[in-house]
Amino acid sequence: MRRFKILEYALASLLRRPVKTAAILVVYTLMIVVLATVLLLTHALKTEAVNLLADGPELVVQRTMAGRHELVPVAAAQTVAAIPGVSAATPRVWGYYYDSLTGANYTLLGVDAAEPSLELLAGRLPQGDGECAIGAGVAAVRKVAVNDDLILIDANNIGAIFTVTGIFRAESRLLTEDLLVMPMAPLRRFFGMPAELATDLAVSVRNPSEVDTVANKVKRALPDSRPITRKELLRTYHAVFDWRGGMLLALFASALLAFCIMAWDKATGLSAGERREIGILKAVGWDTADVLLLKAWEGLAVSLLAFLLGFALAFGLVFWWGAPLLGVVLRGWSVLFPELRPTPYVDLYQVATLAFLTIVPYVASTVIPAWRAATTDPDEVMRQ
Amino acid sequence: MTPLICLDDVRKTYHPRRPDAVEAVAGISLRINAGEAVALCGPSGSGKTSLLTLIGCMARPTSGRVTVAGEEVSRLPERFLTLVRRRTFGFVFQQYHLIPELSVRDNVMLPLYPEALGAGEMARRAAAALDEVELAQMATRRVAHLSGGEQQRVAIARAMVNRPRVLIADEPTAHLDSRLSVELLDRFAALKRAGLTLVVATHDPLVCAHPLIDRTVRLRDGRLDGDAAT
Repeated sequence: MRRFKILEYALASLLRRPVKTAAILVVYTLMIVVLATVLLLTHALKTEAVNLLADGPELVVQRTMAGRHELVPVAAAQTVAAIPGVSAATPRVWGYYYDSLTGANYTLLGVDAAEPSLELLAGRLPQGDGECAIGAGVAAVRKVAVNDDLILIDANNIGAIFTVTGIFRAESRLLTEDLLVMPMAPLRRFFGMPAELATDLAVSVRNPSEVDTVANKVKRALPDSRPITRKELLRTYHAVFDWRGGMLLALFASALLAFCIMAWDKATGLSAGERREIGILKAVGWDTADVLLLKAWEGLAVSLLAFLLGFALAFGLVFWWGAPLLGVVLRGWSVLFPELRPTPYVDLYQVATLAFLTIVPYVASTVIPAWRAATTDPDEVMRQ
Repeated sequence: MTPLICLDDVRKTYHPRRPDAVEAVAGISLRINAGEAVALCGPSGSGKTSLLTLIGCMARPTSGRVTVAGEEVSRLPERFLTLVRRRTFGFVFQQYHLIPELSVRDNVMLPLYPEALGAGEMARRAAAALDEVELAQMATRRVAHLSGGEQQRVAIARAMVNRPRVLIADEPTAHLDSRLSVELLDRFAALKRAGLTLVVATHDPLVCAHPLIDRTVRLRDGRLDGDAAT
C-alpha cells in the first residue's frame, strides 16, 4: 500500500513538471527508437537470410582465378556429381543487372524447371524466349503487371523485350523482391555467356552432416574451385549484418553517451525546487527509503514509458515502413534496392538487453543524486 | 510526573572539526511535560531553531541525550528516528515550507503517504485537519494562490494531520500582522486545551506574554539564560 501511495505521488509529481518531463521523454524515446531500429532490423535481416538459405543448395561451387570469381565450366558438374555423397550437381546461370531507369539492381536467375521455393503470386513461370517472371519489388519499381512488357538492355547494349508471365513471392522477401527469372538459354544470350559455362554449381548432398567432407573433396577434385557451404554463407550474412549493425550502434553510442550525460546532469543538478521538496518530505516524516522509492518510481515511469513508446515506434518503422534511412545502410543499397519489408520478429533477449541498458542507467542516475539529498538531516530545511 | 521530552547536557556543533565550527547549542538540559506550552525566546542566533530541531528529532545532538516519551532517541537509526518524528511531532516552519504547485489538500496529505493508509482515510484525515483550521472550502486551491495567513493555516493543518503529541512552531508570528498573530495564538490555545504539547521558538513579545504559554525558556549564545513559569 505504502509503495503504491508513493507511486501515486511520483506520477503526480511528474505531471506537475509537464515541460521538463515531456522534454526528457522525447529525447529518451528518440534514442530508444534509433537503437531499437538498428537491433530489430539487424535481427530481421539475419532471420530473412536464414529463410532465404533454407531452400537453397547445401553447397555452392564457384570457380576462382587470381582470387576473383570466374564462370565455371558446365562439365565440372559431372566431376562433382561423381563424388561419393553428392546426389546432384546442377549448373546455375545467374547474375546482376543494373537498371538505370530506376537506379535499382536486379538479380537475374535462369531456371529450366519450376523452382520449388518460388511461389507464384500471379500468372505462370516463363517457358520460352522473351518471357520472364519477376519479383514483387521489380514489378513495383517498373510499374508492370502480368502480360506487360519489360525492356532490359543486354550485354550487346541492345534493348531486349520480355513479357512478364508471372509475379512471384517466396517465404523470404529478401529472395524475391529484386528477382527476375527466365529460362537458361535466353538468359545466357542476355548476359553473353557461352553455353559451356555457368555462374556456379548447386550441389545437393545426401547426408547434411557430410557437407563439409564433400566440400573438401570438391576442392581436391577441382583445385581452382571455391566450395561454399550453406552454413558458411549464413555465417557471412550474419557477420555482414552484425558488422553493419555494430557500426551503426557505435555511431549512435555517442548519442547514448550524450543522453546519459544529460540524464546525469538532470539528476545531479537537482533543481533548488526538487532539493527543497526532498527536504520538506523528510521534515514531514518521509524517511530516506521513501524518498529514494519516490525517485525510483519517477525514473522508472519515465524510462519505461519512453522504452515502450520507442520500441513500438521502432517496430513500426522496421516492419511497416521498411526502416527508411537506416534500412538502406543496413541492407546495403547495391543489391537489394527494391523496398524491403522484413517479416516481423522480435528477439526477447534483445528486448531485455536494450531495456537493461537504457532503463537501469536512467533510474540509477535519478536515484543516486536524490540519495545524497535524502540522507542529509531534515533540519537543513529549517534553515532555508 | 515523567516529562514527555528530556534534554540532558545537549550540544549541537555545526561543521565540527573545521575552522568554521559553530556551537549552536552549548550544553542545555531541559524538561518538557505533556500538555505544556513552552516558548523558547531569545535574539537571532541564540540557538532557538537548533534547539527546536533537536527537540523534534530533526537532527542529532553532537553530544548529550534526548529522550522522547521515555525512549532515548539520540542514537536511534535514521528509520526509527523518522518514525518517532512522524508519530510524535508536527512542525510549523517559519517559511511554512509548503509545495506551491500542490493543492491545499495535497500539501496536508504529505505526511500520510508513508503511513500506508488508504486513499479514503487519507482524504478523511486531511479534510478533518483542514476543517480545524477553517480551510475546508479551499482544499482544492493551489497554495501558491493563498495569502500568508492562509498558508500558515495550511502548514498547521499539515502538522496536525498525523495527530501528533507535540506541535513545534518556529517563529510562527514572524510573517503575520498583530490581528493574525492573535488569531494564530488563539488557535494554538485551542490545540493546547485539546491536550497537545506546544514548543514555540519566538522572539515576539506577544507570544511570550500570551496566556497560553506556561513557561518561557530564554536562550543566549546557545545556553539557557532563564527558565520561568509565566
